[in-house]
Amino acid sequence: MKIDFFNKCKPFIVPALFICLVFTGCTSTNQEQITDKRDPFESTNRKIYAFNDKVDTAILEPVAAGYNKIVPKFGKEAISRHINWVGLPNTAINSGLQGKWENLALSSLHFSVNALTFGFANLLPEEEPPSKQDLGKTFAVYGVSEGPYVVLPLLGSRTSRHAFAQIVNMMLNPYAIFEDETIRQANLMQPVLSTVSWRAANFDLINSVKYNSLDSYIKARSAYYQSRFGQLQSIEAGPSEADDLFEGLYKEG
Amino acid sequence: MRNYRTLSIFLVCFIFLFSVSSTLPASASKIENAETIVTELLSELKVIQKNSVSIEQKKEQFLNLVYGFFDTILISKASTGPYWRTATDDEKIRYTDLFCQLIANITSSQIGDISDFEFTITSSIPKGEEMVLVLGELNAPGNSFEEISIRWRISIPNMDTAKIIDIEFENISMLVTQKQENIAIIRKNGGAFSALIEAMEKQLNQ
Repeated sequence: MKIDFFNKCKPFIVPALFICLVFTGCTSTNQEQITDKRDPFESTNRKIYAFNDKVDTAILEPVAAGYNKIVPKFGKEAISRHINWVGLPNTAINSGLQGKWENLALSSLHFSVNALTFGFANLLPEEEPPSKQDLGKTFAVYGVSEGPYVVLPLLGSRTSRHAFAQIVNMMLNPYAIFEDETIRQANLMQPVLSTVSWRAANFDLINSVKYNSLDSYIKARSAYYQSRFGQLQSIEAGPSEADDLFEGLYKEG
Repeated sequence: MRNYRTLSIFLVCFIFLFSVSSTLPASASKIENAETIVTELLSELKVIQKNSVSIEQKKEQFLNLVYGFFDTILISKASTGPYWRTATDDEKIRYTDLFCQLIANITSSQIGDISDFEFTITSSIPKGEEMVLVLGELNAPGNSFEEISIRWRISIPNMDTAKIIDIEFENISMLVTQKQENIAIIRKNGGAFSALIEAMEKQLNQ
């Protein structure tokens, strides 16, 4: 029984160890060197960012370029739909935890009906798609503060709340309960597939951050915070950073 | 007494109708102006994309668009925050010039190869007295991105002047990102505005 449990958890051990290493290895940066109050571990984060950047240049960028070149549009769309479908149980659970009953019903409906095609085809094109939910958003609903900014090896930018939620998400992966070896192998491939698909879909945007920046670390951090703010806007309402930016400028003349 | 009451109701209605009729067309035409400038910029971009010219010539044409369609002074102020006031007049002019070149470079490297795109305006929202947000979806079939939601922030301090001050791709504001980058560089160099100019020159010469 113990060995069985270990086998089920095996796919998550490496990322979990990585994440633990990051948190224990974080040393706070000198106040003078900090470029953003939300990022007290900037010097450690920069080292991990540099490592991720090298991995991206050596592996992910060429693979994503090849993926964009080889896979036809309908193939990319099907893969993207499948990745979304795999995440639906997670969305359903978190919708329930957040009291979003309509979204819970929608995600359950989409998951069960599209299971016939493993999510590669959408059999409910007329139905409204559920909005994606994760444990990080659930924590935000319950008022957990976002915590300091961290850069995780291979996973990239996260707030501590988002990073912790990701570990729990990995542990609660609903596919881990399947005994079937094929499903288990497919489950192991999921993170790889979704990373390549995401990198390919955002190819130009990420390359612009990498190659057209005065300081790509800061640009990546800023882009993460703004994008996450957009996802959490309905929960943690308030003016966006862009709204704040122009306030008072007209008065200054 | 009754006549007095009828008269006051009539007066209130008149004042209400007058105020509604005087503000509605103003904000409606501001929205119209904001949408027009976005549409005009995109049609100019399409013309450039269709021309088979060298990358350098394209950059030059993009630069002309930046000067024509963007409020470069307001963008320069907003992207350097409190440090704008510490810069000398020469530094301000140099920074504005370099920043425009940087925008033109990024635009040409990001969308220089995209030949076929369509932008559909979904809605436009007034933001205070002097700004309008134009929201829409950019479709570029056959490119790495299929559909991107874009918000254009347009400055309209008066009816005749409409200029673009920011573009947000999927909630990511180009200006906020640039401001954070700029401020970090200035702070790292002990508040020297000249350090930012040096970093930009280096970036442009790469």
